[in-house]
Amino acid sequence: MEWASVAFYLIATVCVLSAAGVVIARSAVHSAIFLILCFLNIAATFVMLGAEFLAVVQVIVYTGAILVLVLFVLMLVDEDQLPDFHTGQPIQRISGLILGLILLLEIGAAITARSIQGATGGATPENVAAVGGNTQALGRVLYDDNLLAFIVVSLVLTVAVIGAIVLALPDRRVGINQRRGTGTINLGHPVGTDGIPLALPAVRGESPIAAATPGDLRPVAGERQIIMVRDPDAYTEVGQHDAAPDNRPLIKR
Amino acid sequence: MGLDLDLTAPDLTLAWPQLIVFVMTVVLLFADAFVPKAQHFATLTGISLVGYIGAAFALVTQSGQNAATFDGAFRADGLTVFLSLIILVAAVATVVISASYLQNGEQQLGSDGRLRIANSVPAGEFYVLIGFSVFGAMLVAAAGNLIVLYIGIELSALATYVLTAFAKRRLTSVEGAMKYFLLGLFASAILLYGMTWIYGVTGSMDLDRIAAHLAGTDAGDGFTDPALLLGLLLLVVGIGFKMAAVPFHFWTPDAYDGAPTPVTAFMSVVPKAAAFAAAIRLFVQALEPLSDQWTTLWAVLALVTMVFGNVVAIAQRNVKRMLAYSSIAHTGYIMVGLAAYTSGGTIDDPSISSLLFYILAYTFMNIGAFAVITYLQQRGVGMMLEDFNGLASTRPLIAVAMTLFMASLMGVPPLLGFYAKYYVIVAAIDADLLWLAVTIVVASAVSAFFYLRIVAVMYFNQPDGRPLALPTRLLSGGIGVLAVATLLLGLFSSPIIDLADQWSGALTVLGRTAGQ
Repeated sequence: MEWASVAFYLIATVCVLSAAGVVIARSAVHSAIFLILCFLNIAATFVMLGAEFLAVVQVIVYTGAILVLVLFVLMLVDEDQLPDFHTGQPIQRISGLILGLILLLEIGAAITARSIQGATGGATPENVAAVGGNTQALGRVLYDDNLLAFIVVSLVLTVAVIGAIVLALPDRRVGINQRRGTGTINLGHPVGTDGIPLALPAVRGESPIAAATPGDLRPVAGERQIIMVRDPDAYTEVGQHDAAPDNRPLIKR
Repeated sequence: MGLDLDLTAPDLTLAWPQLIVFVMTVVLLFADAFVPKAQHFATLTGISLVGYIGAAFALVTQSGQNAATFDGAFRADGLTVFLSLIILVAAVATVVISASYLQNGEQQLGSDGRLRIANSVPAGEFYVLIGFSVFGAMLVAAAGNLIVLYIGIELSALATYVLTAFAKRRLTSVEGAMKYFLLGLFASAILLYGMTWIYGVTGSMDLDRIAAHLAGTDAGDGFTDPALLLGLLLLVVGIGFKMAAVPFHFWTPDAYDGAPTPVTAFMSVVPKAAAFAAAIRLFVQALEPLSDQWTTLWAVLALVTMVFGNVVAIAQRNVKRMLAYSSIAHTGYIMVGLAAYTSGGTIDDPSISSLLFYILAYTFMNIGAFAVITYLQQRGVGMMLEDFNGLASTRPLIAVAMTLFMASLMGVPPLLGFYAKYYVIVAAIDADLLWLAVTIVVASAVSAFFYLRIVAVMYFNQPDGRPLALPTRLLSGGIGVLAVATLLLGLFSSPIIDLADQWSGALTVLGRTAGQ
């Protein structure tokens, strides 16, 4: 066997195993790291196919940008809050397994029993060599045959940016922001900082607490800002529309 | 065909309508930032309306054209014109019915009986995203190769995902958007995988070249090549998701229910029209030699979709959810047009033109129904069946309009919806699909229950003293125009169906000749 074949089978095996690891791993971080391994092996396959540019893009974009972003997000989210990816009814798992196997069989059949041959395109090895290599050929195809798609992809990115900004921006509700006032609440002393005892025990008929001496008053431990609104409902999440219309809104905060 | 650079400029005159929508969207983006607050809303609405109507006029001047540019990636033919016009009609209607929503925000009736704003929607971004979505859908209608088709679908869908989540303080809105987004991504991946197989088997991205290559390799064995069939199957699944066909519909009720109502009106028409545009381009134009295989698939899916959508809609008391299931059912009716395509279609084949006409009819009546809900929602209610109590005595004209839309969706004779169903049934009978034709009739009879229930509630129940909606001129006018169109377009349907006939015929004939 040639060395190239050995290398290919090695890369392919690691690639498939790490792809399986993405699914099997219990921790989301482990899944992401398996995915990095998988992407790196795909990049290696691209190199073996003579598509160096794609290999570099694969490493920079997928491994470098997207997966690092995924790992950042995973670090920001508390791991306990992540959903368990391995739950589900047995019937779901079994039917998923069966359907997946059927799809795998179909793909296997499609690869082995394929009878129609595709038309040869312009990117034959001679033509690619004539323009100076894979990267140059890719550039020509991108800016010539696929010019329209190339332009429109930039619009897709624009929409993604606008969408992300719209969804991430805090609410700009003028009406409620104007009604908002702020004050502070003192967290210094359990019976109030002004030294007047709470009336509550006396009401209950217990012996009233003696008035606090200055020594009882602890120093102010800290101040918290609070938001004062006239209409507390305005600060609650609105309930589901499915609920009856006269239902009180669900209070989420 | 080597790798030589061909740097002739593309013929942009063919793309005028699409360019107008694109430029309008960019202008909106800047106007949103620079127009002073007092004129902000009126300016943005004006720019949108002028842009869409201008694009529609540019399209009309293109009718009868049959050309391609961008190396065949962009087509300006009859199908482009017809579908783009439908999309632009939907866009104008959306802008008109969303005006009051954008000005007043989403209102909720508090427990104290007062209205308050629960969600305000930024008008600038709303219009910009609608613009991009319309541009993407128009691009699908004009796509000449697989990549442009896919990117058009993605552009259109991505903007719709964001629009669904626009009422982001309401949990149902975020939930619907999340489901729509995640399932949409899976569907896109499946669609793309199918395209990869088709490319791998035929060696071409160009729709006409795919058709030519398949026609050239037809050994008379009815295409049993597993690779080709796998690609076809994946394409059907991907497209079926985008058009909300059963069993790929699970996102639909939640997304339709959660989205702000004008967005629901928009997303029930434009992404669906884009999906059917993609289906026509992919199946009728590119995979025409496999039509025996895909008509069977679509026929089965159409049957399941019609039955399921109508039966489940009966159980809904939430009107938006009910209309979501009704839109699934209508997807089924439209799919019958695709299933009725007869192999080697000719100009006389009525299937594709019936499909096109149905999408047009569906645009008017469905956006109309959602416009009425938008109208009622101004007073913080309008989602539930009870909110329609006694509407006929408090707002008689709106009740009449809603009755028209419901009757039309049901398919009552002189209205637009009847003619749409009529043409689809004729196409199904022509293609010997009698069982599908019968299913359409039975399903329509079932649908009478939930459509007429709204009418009954409006006319026979007593109003229950809820605060009345404050009508805005733009919204009321929009509802009026849509109602009149629903009433009259059906009566004058023959010129439209002639146009659709001519254009869909042009498409199939073109596919045939380009292959030689």
